Amino acid sequence: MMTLERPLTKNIKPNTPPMGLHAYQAAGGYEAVRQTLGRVAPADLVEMVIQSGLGGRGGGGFSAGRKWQLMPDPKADPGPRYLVINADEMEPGTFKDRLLLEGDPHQMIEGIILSAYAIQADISYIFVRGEYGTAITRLESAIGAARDAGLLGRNILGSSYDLEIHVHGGAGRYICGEETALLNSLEGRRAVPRAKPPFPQISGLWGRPTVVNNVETICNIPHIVLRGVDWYKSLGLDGESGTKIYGVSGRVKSPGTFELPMGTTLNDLIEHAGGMREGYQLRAVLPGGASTAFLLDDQLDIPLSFAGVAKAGSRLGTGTAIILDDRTCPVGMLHNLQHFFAQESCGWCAPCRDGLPWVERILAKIESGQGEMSDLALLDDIAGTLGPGRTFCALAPGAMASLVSGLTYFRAEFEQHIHTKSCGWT
Amino acid sequence: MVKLIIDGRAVEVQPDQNLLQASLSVNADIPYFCWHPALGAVGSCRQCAVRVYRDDDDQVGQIVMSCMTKLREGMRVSIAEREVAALRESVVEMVLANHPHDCPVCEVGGECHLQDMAVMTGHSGRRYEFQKRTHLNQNLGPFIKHEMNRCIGCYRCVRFYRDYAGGDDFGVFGSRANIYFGRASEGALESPFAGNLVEICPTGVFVDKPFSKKFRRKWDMRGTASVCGHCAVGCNVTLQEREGELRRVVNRYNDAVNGYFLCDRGRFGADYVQSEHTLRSARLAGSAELAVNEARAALARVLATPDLIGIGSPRASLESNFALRTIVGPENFYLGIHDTAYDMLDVAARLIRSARMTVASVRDVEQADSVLIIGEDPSETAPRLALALRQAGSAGVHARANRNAIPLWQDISVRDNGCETPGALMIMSPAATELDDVAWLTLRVRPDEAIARAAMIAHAIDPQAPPCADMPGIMPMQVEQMAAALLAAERPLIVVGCMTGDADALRAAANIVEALMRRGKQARLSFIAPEVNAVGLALLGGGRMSACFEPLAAGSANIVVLENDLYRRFPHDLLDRAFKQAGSVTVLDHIETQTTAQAGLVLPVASMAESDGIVVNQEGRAQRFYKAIFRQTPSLPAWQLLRDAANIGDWPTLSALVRVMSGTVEGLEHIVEVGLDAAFRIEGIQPASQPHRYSGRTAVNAHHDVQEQAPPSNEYSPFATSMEGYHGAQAGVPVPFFWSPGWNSVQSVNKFQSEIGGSLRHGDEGVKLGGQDQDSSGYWPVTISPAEPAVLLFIPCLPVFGGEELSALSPAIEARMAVPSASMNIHTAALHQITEGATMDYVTQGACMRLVTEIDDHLPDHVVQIVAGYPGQPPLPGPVHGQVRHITARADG
Repeated sequence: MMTLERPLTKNIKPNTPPMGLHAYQAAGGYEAVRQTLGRVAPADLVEMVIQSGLGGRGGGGFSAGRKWQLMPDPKADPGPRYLVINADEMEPGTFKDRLLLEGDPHQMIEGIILSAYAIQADISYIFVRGEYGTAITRLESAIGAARDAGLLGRNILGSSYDLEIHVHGGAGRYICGEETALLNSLEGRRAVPRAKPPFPQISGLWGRPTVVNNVETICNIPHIVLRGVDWYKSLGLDGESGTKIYGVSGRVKSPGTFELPMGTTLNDLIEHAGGMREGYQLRAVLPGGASTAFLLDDQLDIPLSFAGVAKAGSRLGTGTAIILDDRTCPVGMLHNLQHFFAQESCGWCAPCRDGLPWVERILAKIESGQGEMSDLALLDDIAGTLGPGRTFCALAPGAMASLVSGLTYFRAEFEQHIHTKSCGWT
Repeated sequence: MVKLIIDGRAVEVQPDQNLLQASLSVNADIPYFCWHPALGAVGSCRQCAVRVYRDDDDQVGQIVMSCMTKLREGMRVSIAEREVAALRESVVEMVLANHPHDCPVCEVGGECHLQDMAVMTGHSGRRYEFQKRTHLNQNLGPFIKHEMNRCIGCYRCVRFYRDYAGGDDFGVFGSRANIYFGRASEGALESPFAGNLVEICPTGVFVDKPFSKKFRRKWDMRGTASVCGHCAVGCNVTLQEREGELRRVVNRYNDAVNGYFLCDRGRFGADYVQSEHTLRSARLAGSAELAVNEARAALARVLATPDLIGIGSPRASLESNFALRTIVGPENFYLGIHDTAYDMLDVAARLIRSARMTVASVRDVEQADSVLIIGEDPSETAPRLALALRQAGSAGVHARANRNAIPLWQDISVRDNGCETPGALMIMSPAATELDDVAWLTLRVRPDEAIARAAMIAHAIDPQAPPCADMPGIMPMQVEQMAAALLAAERPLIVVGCMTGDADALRAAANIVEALMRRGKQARLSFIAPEVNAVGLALLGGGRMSACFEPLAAGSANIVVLENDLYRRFPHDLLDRAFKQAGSVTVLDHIETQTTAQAGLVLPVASMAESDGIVVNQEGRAQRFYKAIFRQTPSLPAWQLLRDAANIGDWPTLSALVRVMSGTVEGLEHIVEVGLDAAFRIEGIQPASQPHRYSGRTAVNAHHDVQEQAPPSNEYSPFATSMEGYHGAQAGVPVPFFWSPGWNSVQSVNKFQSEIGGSLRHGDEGVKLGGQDQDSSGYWPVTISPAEPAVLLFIPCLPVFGGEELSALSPAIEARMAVPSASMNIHTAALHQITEGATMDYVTQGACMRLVTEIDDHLPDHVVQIVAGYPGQPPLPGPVHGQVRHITARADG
């Protein structure tokens, strides 16, 4: 078997500090920047990223290049333009961006320089989850080194291109992962989502043209630039490009993150995680974080690509699987998840704000053995009201993805709680 | 127009509105909470879901929030479709999960938008069985009661308070199901528009506190169309009454004037009509009360004497002023205002009469795209106009939204997109103003410097405009910048008021407007007149008061003062001398004042709330107010008292008087078109002023008398004083209460509009006077009277709460009045060896004010801003030179 290429994590060694500027450059770092700034037209870079097939790694999967292409011509709307990196990784079960931020901050910076150049942004913010203190420290230190080396600031490498990067530590709200709520928070305002349209490219940070990209998405850019579109496309399986940083949590032998070809099957991923621990059997999987629908144990051969998971009725999301085993109460798990979402509702739209706590309380009632059959119908009703297109943003529909699939797949367990007036797992 | 098909019904609607607004405009009801016609759409409550279909073949359609949906020609929409109807019901169920359902003890019960919307969705019955979240309430001051448990989280309060009205001491706190709308800590809401929260809130979170203490249900109050009497904007209000008591003041929509909003002075300032200051009985100086007949006989004797001098009032109706003017003779009628105000109003009256000059309505002000304010702080002197100016400040924001194809109704998106866009206002004033945050240019200058710049701006726009001699310290660059900004606009507006105390400010402003018009601009002028009927008084015409004091000094004239406290306007020693010289002093008023205290004969007359009449606002709009309060022992309106005492037969009715006035006074011809004649009937019946459900009329007085009382008679107004009569909107009939089937709250106003947020279907009230004078183009001469260098210049500050005579007598307003103070910059203070917080004597023209000193570094050198207009304070009618004296310690101190 051919050795797998791992461009995103090739510089990262477990339990070792990240490469400094010199080591990073010695490993070929910032070469992409040198080859691009002042040499490649920004529009050509955008075109290259479109051709590469890179899909947004935050969970949407939308073409990164197409997203960039929606930025207006700077001449049509002169003034500041922003590239904002969404590093507010708060999805339960998701810890892939942390690896990239802590493990190779210069890769992040190089990706930002190239991407900001492509969209002709002059200021970039990295909005980092506040708890990622190590990541913030390492980013700030790497930014300082890069600036000292002339890779940031005015007239980068004599290209007459200017760019500043600022690191902003989040204050701990899940909704800041939603790109427009992130922008509000960055402006110092309440972290509530904005209506779209207008999209951030038209009216983003401080009303200016802005692109918001995920950490992992941007870390791909230096490799695409350096090694080309064809190479990048050849990395992936199942018709999608590049590698993906997958994660596994739950009762597997080696939970963690794994850079694998995009489209690796769920079975293979679990195998990379060492398989289930002794005495535990896999019941179901949330394939891409807490906001995705369950897949069952007979769906493990599906490719973990955006299209592949969608076909199976769920979403790839962040690509970090949460495994439900046979010794964990699914009602309890759902209650735990809904507790999180109810806590993290921003309070802007009515059904999410008032519906999620209701869901959480009904689940607590069932879990504690006080549920009634009518509660299941009520949960179905509420889930309908909190579904896609009903609420202001995707938070509540994401929360409902696991609930709706759980209500279907674990119907027997729900009814058992109600009939026996207890939870059999405790 | 755009064609839509709503549940199979083809309709035509105005373009450029969202689907919710469009549907409501054609009586296709959709429930909503977070949307408001003046605040736009944000899509947060998710209550207005409808199904839209892509084309004729689309049978599935898509659920959308109608408030966030643009119109498309031929759009097919379903409100009734089963799934979307069920969604709306489910959303209201969630919103009500934590609502206390305390409607029987809630002041808003029966006029609650939340109740209406819940009923509209068909929701009934509760499935939420868990504990409700509860909040602690805050004391938000004397105007607003806070009841947070009722909150449904629509965000309209905070959007109005912060985004629309510019307040910053109120906000939303917390997150998830624990959001809280209030202040960081307890305390009175600082914005003078906080009272609008009562009408903005769809349920009972913010309640009118004074009303709460004399509460009655909406259906148990008589509603009467009136005009706010607390400044010259002339906001339309509804006075709600029961058992002879004024219960509350609510907004009465008028598209051209106040729209949806009032200021707190208007909403909470009307209780003077039933306060300890109300004048109830007649008296002769030094003797006991006079019986009604004796008082009228005494007045008749006064009016029969020769040497009559009549002093009118800017807070009395046109009718009463005209009656006095007629009785004493126009040559003996004086306007009763300070000469500086007289000179300003004289120019203002000419501008209003001019066919060329366009005086801006409040609506025009909102739509201006560049504004220059000369020497005035409208947030003090005309708060509702200042609120409109704040919206004018968003002209640049709207332009940017248009460029980025963001519909203007998509409120937060528009604001976000334009958050870096500078405002449209330029403010030249000595002190900081509440509008500074929406101004791109603020110049802190003395009044004379502001006027000089204004003259220079006119000259810079059109060299034909008279030039102005250079004044030291005026940078030509600023003048050119301001002229360029006005020329770059399509609808520039010049705002000026009386705070400069110099009619040249108004002349210079008029010259800028003229210059802009000559450059092809649709320029407008807004003159902030000092009191409710100041413009009406000026159009009526009369002598200036300095001329009045001459005959008084000469001898034994008999003075009749109409509804005017001269001690608020003129030096007290001057008045004391004049009154001593006079043969007699007769005062007609509805409140006790320093002037009534000095009078020989005092007669009570009806206040605006207790009478009918016409007042003219600052744009020359004549508006009718109707009698709202009926007392057991009513006072007559002054015009009627004067008529009867002088035995004038020409005015058997109010309408007759108005006809005579219209035929007599040039410029008032059109007042016969204002309001309704007492004989007005709809299909032979009077319009009703009580709702159908008015209850307890046979029981209200049962503890005194078990017989049903006859409703009071209403001599000069066409409205029946009872529930009997015509109900429903009719052309030209002011709406006594906004109420429509299924719409019990004030939101029902949308059922009375021709388009949502536009004019009332049956016409906005008021008749604009003036515009008849054809040969009035040309420039005014402007003379600058520079302030003396290095001499202290006192300039008045008239606080919203306390700076106006009548509202200051209302308990809720009194509770908001601060201690009067004098402010100056640190340099000026140092020059005069004054420290912050020191109490000093501020002395001018014989008046001495003992005030606490505050430091305000916004003020120019040598300028002292003095809080004026409080009850009992010596008058400070305009900028005046003065001195400051240290208080000498006295042993008996």
